[in-house]
Amino acid sequence: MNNAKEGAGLIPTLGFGIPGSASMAILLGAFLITGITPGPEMLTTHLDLTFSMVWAIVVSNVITVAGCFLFIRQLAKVTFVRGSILVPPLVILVSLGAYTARNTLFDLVLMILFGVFGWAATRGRWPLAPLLLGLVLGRSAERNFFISYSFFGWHWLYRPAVIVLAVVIISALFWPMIAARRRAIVLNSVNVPP
Amino acid sequence: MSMKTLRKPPLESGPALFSLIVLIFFVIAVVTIRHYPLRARLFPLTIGLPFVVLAGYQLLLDLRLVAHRAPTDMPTLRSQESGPVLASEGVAVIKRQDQFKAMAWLGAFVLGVWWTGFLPAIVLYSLAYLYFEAREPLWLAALVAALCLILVYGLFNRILNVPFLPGLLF
Repeated sequence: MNNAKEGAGLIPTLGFGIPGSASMAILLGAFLITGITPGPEMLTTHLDLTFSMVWAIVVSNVITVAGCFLFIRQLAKVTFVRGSILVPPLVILVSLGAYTARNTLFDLVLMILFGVFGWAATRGRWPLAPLLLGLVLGRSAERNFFISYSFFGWHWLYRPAVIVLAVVIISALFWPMIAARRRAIVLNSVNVPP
Repeated sequence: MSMKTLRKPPLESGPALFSLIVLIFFVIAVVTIRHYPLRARLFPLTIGLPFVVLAGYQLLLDLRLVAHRAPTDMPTLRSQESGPVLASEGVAVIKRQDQFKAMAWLGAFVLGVWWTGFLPAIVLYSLAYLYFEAREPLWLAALVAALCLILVYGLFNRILNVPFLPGLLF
């Protein structure tokens, strides 16, 4: 199931530059770091790159299925490894991931600072996925926003597609509150004695 | 019934405190970027001003949670039950003391990299963590440390040619 969703998540990531999941947001960040700009070009001028990713997913799925059929018993035993033994390799790999971005020690310090921020945000019950999306999509959003503003001023806000998107965004923003209110009203009506 | 069961639950002041910090940060950011050139301030202001309003509203909701001590029924701008909160599920069940310990060990590893370089720090960190913190036998700690060293040196240093900075000491 985990493998199956990656192919579907790749479609909006490559076609529109909108990550379909948290892992695709990380992949999108990697694209931007390496100079690959997702969007319609991925389906026209860079179609070879897109197909290489599609085939990579196909081949990896075949390899995964074959590997699982052959070694499923041994792989299942990995779940019994104590968590404490996994901590050093994970910390080392995470640190190397941060370090190899620019090969500077400062990136390790940044990793710790963002780790502390992530911990505080989690304790403060602020979801981190929107922050990740903002970091990944922020640059292209700012560029396109300025282009739109330069060409049309604020009149681009009156275009139908923009209005529809704004309505969707505002609905998504306030829906949790409305749903909670509705739940509370339903609960109150159920608890009221006849 | 014992005194322990009669005690009221602790106040949920963490979310309100974090919301306050976020609000202050964004207010400072918006005030600072007001005098920037148009191109520099356009997008940050467009993002920042609505965010200040939303963060202020979230702070009000969090303060109401603190006042009423009823954290489950209140409506909130965050979709906690349905939204993809990265790695939050594990943190919620780990004791705060253990969370500080984990961060301290991570900091110790980075300090070790700074002082001794990557490869010695990997060995020292793996040994120290597994032997002193995880209470694993010394042979297992040494084995994991050796495997980590082989992986990092062989894959990253030799095959992928990642240059490791030298440490301050050696």
